[in-house]
Amino acid sequence: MLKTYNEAVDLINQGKLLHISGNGDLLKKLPKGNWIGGTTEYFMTDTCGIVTNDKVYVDEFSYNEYRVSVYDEKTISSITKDAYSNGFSIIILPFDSEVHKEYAKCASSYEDIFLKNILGWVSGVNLNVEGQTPLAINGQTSEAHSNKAVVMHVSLPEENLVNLGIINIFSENQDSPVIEFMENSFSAGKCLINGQEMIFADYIAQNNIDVKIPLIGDYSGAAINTSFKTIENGVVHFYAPVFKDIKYRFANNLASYEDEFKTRLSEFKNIQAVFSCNCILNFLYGDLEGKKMDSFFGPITFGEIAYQLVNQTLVYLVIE
Amino acid sequence: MQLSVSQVQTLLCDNENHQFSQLGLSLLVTRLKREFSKEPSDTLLQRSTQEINGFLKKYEKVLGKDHSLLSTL
Repeated sequence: MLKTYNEAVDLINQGKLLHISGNGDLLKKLPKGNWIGGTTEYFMTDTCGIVTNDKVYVDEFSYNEYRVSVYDEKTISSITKDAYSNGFSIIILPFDSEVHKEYAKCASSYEDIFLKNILGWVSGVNLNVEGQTPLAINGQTSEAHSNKAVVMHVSLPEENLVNLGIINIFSENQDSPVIEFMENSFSAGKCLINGQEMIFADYIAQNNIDVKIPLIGDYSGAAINTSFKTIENGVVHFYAPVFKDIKYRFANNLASYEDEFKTRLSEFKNIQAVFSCNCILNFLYGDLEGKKMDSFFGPITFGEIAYQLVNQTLVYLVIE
Repeated sequence: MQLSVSQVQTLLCDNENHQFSQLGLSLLVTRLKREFSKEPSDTLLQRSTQEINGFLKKYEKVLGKDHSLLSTL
């Protein structure tokens, strides 16, 4: 829930286990305690979508066994060893840091990554305010990191079952060509369009492709988005890597982001998520500020983690 | 549910695009297919079998309809 600074301080001082998202200056002022935090000023609350720098969004967990770990790009692969066998781990990665790039490219190859419930998000800044830095904060030490990931590993009783899921409002456009890339990379020059080598930027321009709509990779039933960042000098840049050997298609255009969200979320109305986050691109392109959603409240983020990095996606955690 | 080595080989090698509903299983199978296409060795097949069976054991209760898909292999 969205809390004032003083309300968050009270919860920390009560010794609660917390995940806190908010403005960096506010987070850095919070007292030490059992919390981790990351920077964003965008939130989906039970009232509506909000942009604020004077409140923080607090997720509270009532579990007793946990640990907080900090990783750089050289140590992040050990996240799976540190995660509890029955539990979940919430990771916060500062946007554009080396650890963000390493995790984006390599997480799916980490040992036992899919046997551990790792979810989380990429921290960012207010896009209308200059001079901010994406941060991940270890509340136990008050250290704010711009180049390290902070992770809260939580252990659950054996009888609890964890389910980690995503909600993707986009679907593959069946009329789209199949797009394949030559290497695992955050950017692409050439690619294969239906098997023919082409300059991807040229194809996008010639076919008036709307780059607010992501590419969708076919991962054996899971539709995983990769969002467009920019196109510069004939090179297409993405918010997550594209991978060789994955077949991509463009997504269908949405008539209304808001309506599509409401429709998709209604399909999940029986799910009681204990944590969720949603993408800044959905928030901005969907013009969700001031719009009310019925469920899945939490921070609006600059990349989402559901085992591996995903884009333009809502990620949620359910504990049964 | 546990898969045999030959079932995993079928899963990783055949051209059929299996569509799973459980996110972790979808991502795992995709990664293993990618790895196996690059290095189709017995060692990797054994390791893939272990990893898939570890997943199936852990998430048996949430596999739902993926159970029936896997049993057709």
